[in-house]
Amino acid sequence: MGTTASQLPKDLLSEYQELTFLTKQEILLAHKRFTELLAKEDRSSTSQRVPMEKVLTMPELKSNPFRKRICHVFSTSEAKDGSLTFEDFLDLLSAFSDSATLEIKSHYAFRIFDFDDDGTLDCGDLEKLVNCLTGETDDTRLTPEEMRQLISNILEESDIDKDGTVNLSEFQHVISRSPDFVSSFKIVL
Amino acid sequence: MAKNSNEGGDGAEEGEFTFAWKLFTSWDYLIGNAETADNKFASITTSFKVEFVMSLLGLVCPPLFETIAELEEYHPRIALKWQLGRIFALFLGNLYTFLFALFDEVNAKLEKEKSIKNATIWAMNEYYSNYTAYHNTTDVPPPDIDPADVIRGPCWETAVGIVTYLTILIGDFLRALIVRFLNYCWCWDLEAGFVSVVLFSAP
Repeated sequence: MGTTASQLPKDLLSEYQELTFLTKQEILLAHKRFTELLAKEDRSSTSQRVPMEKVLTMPELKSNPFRKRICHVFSTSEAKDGSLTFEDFLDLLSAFSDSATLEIKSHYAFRIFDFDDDGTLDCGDLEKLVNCLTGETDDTRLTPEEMRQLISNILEESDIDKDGTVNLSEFQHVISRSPDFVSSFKIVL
Repeated sequence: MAKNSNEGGDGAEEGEFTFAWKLFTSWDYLIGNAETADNKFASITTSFKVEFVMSLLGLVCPPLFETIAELEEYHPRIALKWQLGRIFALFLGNLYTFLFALFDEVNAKLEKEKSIKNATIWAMNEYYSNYTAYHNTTDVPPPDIDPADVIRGPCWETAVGIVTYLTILIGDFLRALIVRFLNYCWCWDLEAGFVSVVLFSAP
């Protein structure tokens, strides 16, 4: 346990401090938690990936309906399998940290909600988003009629150029006026 | 009627993004507990449904009442009374939504209280067993903790009370007082312009 902290070289640590919104303690804690996720024999190498299934078992993500999307958005894996390197993991924590700006947070929120990764929130994305927020059970699900009504209301409110989808700038326009977003878009180890 | 909906002027108009905000910003990413997450799912669904009813009322009621007033050839005074009654009903609806939000808050705090209680009991047990093992005596003095450091649960009563008072006292009452009495010595007509008291902001 005590040796994990020293595995992160000093120069690398200060570099991470420069590049993220995290403090030294937060980076060290992140490193400790990350190495715990790695298999024992992989702990020596720095560019080792943790598979998505392992990341999803973290208590901070376990109950989050967007956990898989979060992994996919922050993963730099070529295979698009949602696996995270330590630097991906720091990126994630940095975007969800207290000091990240509204612009950064809303940018990542947009990418998390963009389920098909096509750069815009269309009806399919919005429907999946609603289903994520209302849970898996049938008694909390919306009926198809309610779903249709809800999506048309949302597009009416936020789709300024009336192209049937919500793009990044429309999304940020809506989000930037919300009083709750910055305080709720947060994950702390 | 009642064009001066809330502060007016700049900034987002109240209710401009009701549904979009609910969808994009209502999940709390700090939730790390399955039960709390289930509560959140249920409360989000409820809030969507309540919002539907409200928007439907806003859509249907005004034309309906106007038509009735027209058909019955009401005196304008009576028509106005009807309108005020309608607005009163809408306000009750708003209050209902507010209560739901409070219930949500209470549930979340109770959850937290439970976990803090468990942690406290665990820490005390730890202390007593450690003391017994170390000093080899069962006569354990109470732990030496400064009263200010005693672990407390989150006090949901206070949080809820504060929200209620802020909403009612600052939001409405103080504003009403300021507008009414400062109006006598102000550069512009407060009751008609900026920071006017919105008594009837019905759609």
